[in-house]
Amino acid sequence: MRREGGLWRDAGRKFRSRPATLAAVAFLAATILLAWLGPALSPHAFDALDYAHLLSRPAAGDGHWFGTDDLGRDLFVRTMLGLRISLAVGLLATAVSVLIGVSYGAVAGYLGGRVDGVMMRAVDLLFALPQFFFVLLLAVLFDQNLIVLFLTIGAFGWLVMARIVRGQAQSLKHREYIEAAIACGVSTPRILVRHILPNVLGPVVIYATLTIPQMILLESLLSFLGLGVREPLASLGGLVADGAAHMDAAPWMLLIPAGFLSALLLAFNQMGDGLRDALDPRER
Amino acid sequence: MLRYAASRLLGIVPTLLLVITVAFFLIRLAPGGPFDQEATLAPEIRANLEAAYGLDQPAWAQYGRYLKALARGDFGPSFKYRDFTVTELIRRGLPVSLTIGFLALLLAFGCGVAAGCVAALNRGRWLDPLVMGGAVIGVIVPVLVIAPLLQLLLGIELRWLPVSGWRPGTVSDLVLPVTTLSLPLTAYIARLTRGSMLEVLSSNFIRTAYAKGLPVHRIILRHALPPALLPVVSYLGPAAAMLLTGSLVVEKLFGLPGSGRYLIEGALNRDYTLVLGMTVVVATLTLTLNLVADLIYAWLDPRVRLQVEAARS
Repeated sequence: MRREGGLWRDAGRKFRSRPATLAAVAFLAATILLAWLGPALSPHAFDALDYAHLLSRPAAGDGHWFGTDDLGRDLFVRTMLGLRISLAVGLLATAVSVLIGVSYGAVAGYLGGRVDGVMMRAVDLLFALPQFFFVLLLAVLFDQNLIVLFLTIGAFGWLVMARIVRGQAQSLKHREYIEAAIACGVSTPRILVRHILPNVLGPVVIYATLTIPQMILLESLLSFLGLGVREPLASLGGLVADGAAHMDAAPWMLLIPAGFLSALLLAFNQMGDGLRDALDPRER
Repeated sequence: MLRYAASRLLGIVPTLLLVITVAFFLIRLAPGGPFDQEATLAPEIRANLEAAYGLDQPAWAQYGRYLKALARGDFGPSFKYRDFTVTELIRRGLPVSLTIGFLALLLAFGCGVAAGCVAALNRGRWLDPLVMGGAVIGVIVPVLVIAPLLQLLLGIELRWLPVSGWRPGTVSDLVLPVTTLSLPLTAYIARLTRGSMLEVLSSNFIRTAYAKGLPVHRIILRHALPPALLPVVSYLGPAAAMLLTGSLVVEKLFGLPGSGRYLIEGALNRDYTLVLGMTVVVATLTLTLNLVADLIYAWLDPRVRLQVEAARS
């Protein structure tokens, strides 16, 4: 057995040996593929109104595979579009929150002392406040465009990440190789980037995976309240809201996007749990 | 203990002030003003309106005036609901929101702790994975999916409960919103309780209690439950934030006249005073619940309690 890469290879084996994780990864891969290629397969556009088929049931015949909504728009294409937007917002917002959380936590944990005290006190303070409330305010006040949306959502997901990374950085900073680096005269930013960051990667990957569903949920809540993505675009949350308004006449309008949203959240959570089992040494 | 509570209560004030300040200037930074939607407004009338509400003054002066009024408990007039003050609007919506929020919290706490204990005590038998499997689904499936599904099933298909609406004093109107709101919380509390209960049950003092021959229910209720509840109690603060988020969805779906819509409409209309008023209420509520959680924690945990009492003497 080769020595190099042993830890990651062990993790890979462990990751693959958990059926729920494999199912989650397979589902996510299939969903991403479907969201990417699906709309091209359908004869309908996401915003085309089909007055001959208002609220029609899911059927193979007329090309409306998931049925249509109250304006005759094709629900298959709209669901795929919703998946794309939800996934995009989830991934980008997570990237934003990882970026903020990791750099904030690494700096606080590595510098320590008074800087650390002030920085973590600010995190405690933000924790005590209802974050969704502020996301909502920001989303409404600063116009509901997509970029502002994922920036705002991402800007509120970094607190836990900052705490995790800070704890890790704090325990790493007294290791011999860090002291050796300091003794060699390596600058503080370089130590952070080259020596601290690579060593906190495991927990960061785990928690980032678990952040994605939270971000997707946050965005769908905003869209559900009519404050997220604007018509004629739609995310899964907006589609669920539409579906809830018509559920007595057209239950498929509710059930299909709601099913996709729940499955997506479940899959990301399962994948995160699988990663935790594989990468977190404490669980072994 | 009382002095500890008082000092913690005072600690809320600076936080609250910070939140108000940030919110105050954030709203004024945002594009658009409260009178933008009235397109036909002549410039003179507009100037008069802004003067009447003090909007023509510099932001710092407005801020000072707002704080002064707030110290007297006056949230100011609403810009959009012309005949109402913000206090009246809050007084109208808040009781509804608080009712369903409080009931949901009670329900979630009761059911969650019970389910967690049952699962922990049945570890290795069929009941444990059943309860915890349900809890996983409860944690992950969001309120905005659960709520319409329950409406569809219990309201439209089975016709057991009203789909939506609010008639004061009618219990059946409360059942669906409160249940929906409490479900994710129940699931989370059940998971927390099971974990900490298992940890406590494996500790030495529980083994001693069994060895003394105490009856099982006494061991569980008197010795195991209080320490096992600690993580649940410290979850009370985040739970309040979760309830707040959930209640926005629930109020919209079930057509409840709560305060959620004032928050959303207020922000959309740039109704400065209304948004600020809601911010103050929401921040006060969550900070207070965090404080209550800390106090219960201190009371339940002898280590913290003794520390607090030692600091006093």
